[in-house]
This record gives sequence, C-alpha cells and structure tokens, in this order.
Amino acid sequence: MRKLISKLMLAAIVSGLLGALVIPAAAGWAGNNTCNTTSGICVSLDDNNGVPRAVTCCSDNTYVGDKYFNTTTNIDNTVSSVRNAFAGNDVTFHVNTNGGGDSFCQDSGTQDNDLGWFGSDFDDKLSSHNKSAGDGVC
Amino acid sequence: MNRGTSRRRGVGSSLLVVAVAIVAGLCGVGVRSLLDSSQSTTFGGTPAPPELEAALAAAFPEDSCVAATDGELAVSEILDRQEHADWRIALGTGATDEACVGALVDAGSRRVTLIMALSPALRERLEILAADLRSECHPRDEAARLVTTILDEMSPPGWELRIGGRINAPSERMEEVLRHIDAGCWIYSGTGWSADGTRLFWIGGK
Repeated sequence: MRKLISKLMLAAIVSGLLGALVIPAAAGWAGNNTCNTTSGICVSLDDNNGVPRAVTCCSDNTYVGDKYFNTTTNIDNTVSSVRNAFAGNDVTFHVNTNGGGDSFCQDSGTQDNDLGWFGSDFDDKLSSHNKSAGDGVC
Repeated sequence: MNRGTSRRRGVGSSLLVVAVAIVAGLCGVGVRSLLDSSQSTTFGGTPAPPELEAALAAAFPEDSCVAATDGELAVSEILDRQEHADWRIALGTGATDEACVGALVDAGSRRVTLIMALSPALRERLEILAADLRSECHPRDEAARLVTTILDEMSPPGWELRIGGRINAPSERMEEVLRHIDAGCWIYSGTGWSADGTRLFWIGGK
C-alpha cells in the first residue's frame, strides 16, 4: 500500500510539472519583446526603450488591459519611451483612447527615449496609438 | 486464485497511477494558463489586410497633399473596391480641406481615420533643418528661431512651438544625439497636435 501511495505521489508530481512547464499553454502571449527589428511599434515602461517593453505590429485603440511582455504591469498611462521601427509607416501616439487627446507623431525609424524630458505632456499618459498607411503624416 | 486477485489489484493500481498522472498534468496546464492570463494580454490590434494598407498608402503618397474631401472619397472607393463593407471612415483631428491629411488604419475597429498631415514641402524643409540641428550645435533660442522662421513661412497659421518635452531622433543616431544635447545643443523633435487641434512642434535640448 505504501508503495502504491509513493507511486501515486511521484506520478502526480511529475505530471504536474510536465503540465505546467512543458505542455504549451492554450492562451499565451501574442506579442513579443523584440524592439530592434525593422518593423514594429515598441513602448517601454522606463526611459531608453528598455524592458519592461511591449511590441506590436499595428494600431491599438486602447491600452486598457494591455501588459508589458511577461509582466503584470499595465501599459495604460505608464509609457515613458517609444520607438517606431517601421521603415515606411508613421505612428501617432495619443493621451486618450481611440486616438483622442494631445498627440504626437513618431516618424518612421525614429524613437523618443524620454517622454518625461523637461516636463513633457506625454510621460505616463499614453493610452492608444495608430499606424498610418504610408509615411506621409509626420 | 490468489495470483489472479493480485494481478487484478496490480492492474487496478496501475490504472489509478495513470489516472492520477493525467489529473495532475491537467492541473499543471491549468496553473500555467492562469499564470499566463494574469501576466499577458495581446498588445496592439489586428493587422490590417495588406492589400488595403498598400492601396491606402498609394492614395496618400508622401510627396502629395491630399485634402480631406478628396481623401475621404479615395478611401471610400478603396473600401468599396476591396469589399470592406464593414469598415468606416472617420475624420480625425485637423482633417479639413484647408490642410493635408494622412490615413491611420485600425483593423481592430475596422476604421480608417483621416488626420492632419504636414505638407510635403514643409516636411522636406523640417527634415533638412532636423539634420542640420543634429550635425551643427545651436543653443535653444537659435534653434527656436530657425524652426519658427520655417513655420512662419510654410505652416498654416495657429501652430505652437514647444520648448523641451521630447527628444526624438532616428533610432540609429540616438546615442550620438544624446551626446549632442549633453553638449548644450538643441534639436528639432517632431510634430503633433493638442486635443483642441492646435498643430504642435517641438525642439529638444537641455
């Protein structure tokens, strides 16, 4: 009987670990953490476009509910640096959701390392962004 | 008789071990899913159909000024032609016939928003000035004067120049620009708009 209990415990531990660590989870992260590509929109919690960071391919009309990659930290109203890695698309960042409020245009291939530089209107205030068709906005 | 009972007991205990293993494995997956769902959500929306994005980019070329009415018509024709009946067109900040407009594409909301854009001539002048201010050292007041001179000449009225607030530069030159700023030089840091539609321009330095 003791042998059976030991076997059961061992099976439970091994299977639990396998389930948690090896088998891919059904609902996973859809973005990634890479900001040095030639396409993508990157936002960072801190200055200098470091991590925690989140990267996306396209427009996002609200940051509410979004988190930095592999963290539980909200993106909404916490962004301090941004990068537009697209070579042929401008990106507009907005203080309000749905593209509203004070806004700035991030030209293709450029970055803002410190939105809090000398009292910016945007540090820890961004709530949405849009990607333009082409490079003719900024 | 005893051997048969023992064998049945052996089969039973093996089945029990397998059952426990399956349940524990499923529990592990559940824990993993819970952890993932608490740590991550999708950032950004749905990619726009490539053919739609390409057609819109062609309708709003960098070297042309498209007014709001013409832009709206062009987007409407593209949406019709590509059979995107569930998409809509929105007029965003500063989208008028007195200014140039560009197109923002949000596939998540199935919306194309027309937004104020720089005229090709002004964009070109500002790009040249931005390059100059990154390569030559100008103190704040001089940088402000250079930007203001161009805006007075080429921008529609009602713009505002903001001093500080953004340090914007091409990604591959950012480190060099930061050293430039440390040396007391000021740069052109881009454009945007306020909630009330005022066109904003920035210079950055310290």
